[in-house]
Amino acid sequence: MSETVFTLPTAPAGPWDQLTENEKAWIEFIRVISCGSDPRVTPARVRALRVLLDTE
Amino acid sequence: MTNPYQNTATAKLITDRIRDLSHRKTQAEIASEAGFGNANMMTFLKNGKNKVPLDRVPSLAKALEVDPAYLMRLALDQSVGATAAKAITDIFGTPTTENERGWLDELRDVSDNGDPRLTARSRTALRGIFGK
Repeated sequence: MSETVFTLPTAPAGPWDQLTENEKAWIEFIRVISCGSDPRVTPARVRALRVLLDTE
Repeated sequence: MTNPYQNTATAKLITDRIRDLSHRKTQAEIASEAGFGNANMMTFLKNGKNKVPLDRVPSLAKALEVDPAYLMRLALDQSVGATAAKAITDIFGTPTTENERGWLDELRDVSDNGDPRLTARSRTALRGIFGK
């Protein structure tokens, strides 16, 4: 099974209307570049995200 | 057209999950768990003869062990078309998956709740992170 595609069932819809416009932009961009595959949060990706935001 | 939903993302997801779960559950068991009286329903969903009934998304997601928000997004697209699905999510908001909530948590944590803008540099870096 692809490590990026599937997750276990969870709670229903998240509070989209409670996200900031910037947060919506991040999530929508992740959806686009991952072709809607719902990429999993992995340690390597989190490290890369930290590097990105630490140097912004 | 006999299989109007063939090759949709929803049909592909269902096909993949049935295959991935085949060592633990039969297709008939998945159909039953999802609340379908007809065991052939999973075949119809896989080959695109039928679309996923939206009221079955929660139980089907559980049976297929996928995130219900993810399946709902795909099923909505399949059910009403991309344009209408976008209109619905524009009004009601799009469901977020567990993974997306995980990304939001990380984003908030890493930025100290700084609500970072998605800059051109961020976009480039994200493409690298997700291998695109």
